[in-house]
Amino acid sequence: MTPMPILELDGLVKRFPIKSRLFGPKQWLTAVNGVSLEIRAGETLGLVGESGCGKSTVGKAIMKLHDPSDGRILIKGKDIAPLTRAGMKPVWRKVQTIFQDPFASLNPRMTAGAIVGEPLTIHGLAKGAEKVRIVSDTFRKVGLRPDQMDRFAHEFSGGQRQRLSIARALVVGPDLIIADEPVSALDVSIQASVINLLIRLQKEMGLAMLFISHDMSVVEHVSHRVAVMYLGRLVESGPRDQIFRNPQHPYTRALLSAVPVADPSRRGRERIVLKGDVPSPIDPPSGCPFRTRCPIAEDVCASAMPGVTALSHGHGFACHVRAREVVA
Amino acid sequence: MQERLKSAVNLATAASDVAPSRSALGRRTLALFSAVTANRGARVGLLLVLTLVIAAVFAPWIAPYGPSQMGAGMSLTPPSADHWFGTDEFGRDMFSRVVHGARLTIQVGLIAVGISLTVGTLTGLVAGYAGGWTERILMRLVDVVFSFTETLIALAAVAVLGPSLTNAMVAVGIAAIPFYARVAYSVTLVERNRAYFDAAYVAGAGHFRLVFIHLLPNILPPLIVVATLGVSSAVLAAAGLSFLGLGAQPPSPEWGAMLSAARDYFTQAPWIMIYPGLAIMVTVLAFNLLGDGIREALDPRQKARQ
Repeated sequence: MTPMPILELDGLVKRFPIKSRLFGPKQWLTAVNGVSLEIRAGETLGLVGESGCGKSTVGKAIMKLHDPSDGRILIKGKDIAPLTRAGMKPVWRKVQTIFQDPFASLNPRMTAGAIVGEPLTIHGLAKGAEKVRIVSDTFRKVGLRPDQMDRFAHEFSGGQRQRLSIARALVVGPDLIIADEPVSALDVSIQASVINLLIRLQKEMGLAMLFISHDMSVVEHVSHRVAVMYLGRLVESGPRDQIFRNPQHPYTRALLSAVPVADPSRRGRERIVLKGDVPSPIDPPSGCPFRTRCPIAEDVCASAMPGVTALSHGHGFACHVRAREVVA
Repeated sequence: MQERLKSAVNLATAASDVAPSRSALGRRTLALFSAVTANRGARVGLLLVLTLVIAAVFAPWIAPYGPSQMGAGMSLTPPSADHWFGTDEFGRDMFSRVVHGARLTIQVGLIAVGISLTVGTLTGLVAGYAGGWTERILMRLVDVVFSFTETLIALAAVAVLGPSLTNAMVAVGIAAIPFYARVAYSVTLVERNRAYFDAAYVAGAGHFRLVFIHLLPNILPPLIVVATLGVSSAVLAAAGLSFLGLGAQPPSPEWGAMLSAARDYFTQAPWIMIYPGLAIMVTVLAFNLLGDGIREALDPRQKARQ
């Protein structure tokens, strides 16, 4: 009997209206098109894909920064999709976000201590000396010194600012962390230390984490399970080792072949280079959304959307051609 | 015992850290001040503004005569050692009148800008934050008022309220509201799309906290610039109303009213027009220089260029 997932997405859809010509037909941009996934306590799910594939929209929909157009968002079994702002408040305490840009996500007019302590005030969890104690503890936890609480955000380096973001997310004791490209704005030399901090804290506190990234090597390092997104849909998901050692979907294979490997003996390995650009999510291709760039596409791909082929260990993918090969 | 004392001290110092402490805010203010004074024009402006403020505050001690004291000298005497700026047709000391006029001018600047800054900022902030129908109604209202010239609105307001300096201040203040509202609105739109606003939103912050703790402090810098520059146009507009006889009334040493009264005699005694006119010009120049200096100090792009 596995415990109830902390987060479960069931057919999540997010459409944005596009301003069109007067009296013209209303157009929609479908950023997320029927994404289903789940994350359990103590587990990190890496959500990967190219920019514009809708992975950040998934994160924002879970936080209700965008209202989902369809589907359910279950937090510990409770659907939060229809909740209003007032109803979201207790949810916002249990689900915390780490934003991508550590320079924009901290209020430039507030001190570091005030930023990290704010969620405590908002949720009425602590004040006065108690609040100071919790904030200093959290500072230490993320590798900052409590005497830095007096400083403004711009007086910190990029890595330290992202540590502040992490501290702000952890201070209220959340169950789920949504990390939206948390290290992509940082220098490579700083990335490793911030990632290791996230991994350590996640283990210590038994958090569920949705780790959104376009960087396959970072995702491999952080995640227990990986979900690959293309044009608003999941094309493959499964345990990390399955995805990285035994990828099934042609898109996953192409992504993995693009990851640089620090091993000259493997210099001759096969590189799958995708042709063309990602199609517009306003007018996606018929059938399988990947068929326009797929090296193995067949006629059937243009007519029907592929269903999910399930392998062992919860590994699954959506591809007509590969499904036939696996079964055969 | 020693331990407990230590931890108490630690807690006390830590407590001062979490709230935006005086030292942190002090550092910022000091940094801004030195950035402003690094600009030569702003230094001159600041000096002139300080002179004006000192003249206003200490007017009774600086001025050798009362502002309305008739027969302080012969009437219409040219500038001399006794009467630096000469005397007017009633023998009143022009220097004393100009110095006392500084009080009224400072009042006009503060009150008129205070009205337009407060009302305008709140309007723009609320419209930009709330969006939807609130935004549409508020901003269209602002647009309607914006489409009339400020002088016309001020004239209409004075016509309704009656001519007095107080009413002129209020009128000038009301007339400038749309400008401040527009600035506040556009900056609010920019700031509410920044990630820190989203971060506060998903932390569960309420309307009050989002507007007054997160947005307001971040939209203030451009508004401070606009307000500083706005003082000069408010002073000019109020002087204009007084010149037309719709603001300060005769015995009052308001510079615009003095100019108006001087029209009858300025061919024989140009000094009764020159000095109040100069005072207005210097005041406007001072606030413009200071405003430009603050703008440059607050604008990171300008800083990079230097």
